[in-house]
Amino acid sequence: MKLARVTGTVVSTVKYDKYRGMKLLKVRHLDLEMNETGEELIALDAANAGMGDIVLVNNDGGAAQMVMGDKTLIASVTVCGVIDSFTCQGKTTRCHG
Amino acid sequence: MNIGRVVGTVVCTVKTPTLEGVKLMVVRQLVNGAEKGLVIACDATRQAGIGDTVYMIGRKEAALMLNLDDPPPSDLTIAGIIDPETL
Amino acid sequence: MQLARVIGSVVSTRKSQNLEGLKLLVAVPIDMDTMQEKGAPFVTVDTVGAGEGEIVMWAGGSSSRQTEQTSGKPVDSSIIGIVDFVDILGKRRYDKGAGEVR
Repeated sequence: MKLARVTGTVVSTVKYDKYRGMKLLKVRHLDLEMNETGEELIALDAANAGMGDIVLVNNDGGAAQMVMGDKTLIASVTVCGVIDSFTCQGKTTRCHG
Repeated sequence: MNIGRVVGTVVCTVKTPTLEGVKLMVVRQLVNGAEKGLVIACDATRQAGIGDTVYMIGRKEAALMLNLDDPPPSDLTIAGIIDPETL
Repeated sequence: MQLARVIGSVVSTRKSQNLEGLKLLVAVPIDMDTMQEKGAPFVTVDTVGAGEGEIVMWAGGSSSRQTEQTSGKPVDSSIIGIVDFVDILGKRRYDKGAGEVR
């Protein structure tokens, strides 16, 4: 799992049948200094995250089936948690509030 | 899933049997909004057309999304189209 | 998937038993922006009967093992189609019958 920031929501009328009713988000990975890294990705939302939230992002097909609760779901990137704060080498970073 | 824009099509008469009837699209990869290289992706929505901004799934899931029981050898598959007015 | 041009073949007598019976070809990637060769040649498994000089479509990673010939084999790229046409933004960029078109 990696840290990421939700950078937008995606409205997609035409999509893979199984994604019907699921929320799609744009996410961008972050390093521990909260700088954006890598490529903006589209993720399925399992944590009811919103724009600007710092989230935990998983990039695995098997994990996607578990967090979305569907053993036949085909997915890769999922938002599986909203982060309140994290501590690294004694330094605590608050992510919201 | 990665973002791209559909710019073309590829036609193969001779191909792996499981790819029969699967649309092959040429997609311009969009990385953080910037245009990158061209790739070929199968279309699981069957509705993607030139100019559409799409999101694509890779790895093993690309094959499974097209057909769970008899997955074709796709390493990149279009999973959906982003509504143009929300871009 | 990406395009590549088949430029040769590989013969290997001593190899993993799992690779026996597979046809190994050497291909060089084709950049679809220019339809020219770009990048380093690689060895790939032919599942469709491609020949030298042909432009083919290949898949990489675990997806390349989703063919009858490569299922369960130690393969990381497969040729899965012989390309007839490539159309980009309404222009025919490649036509197998006529050779390359710009």
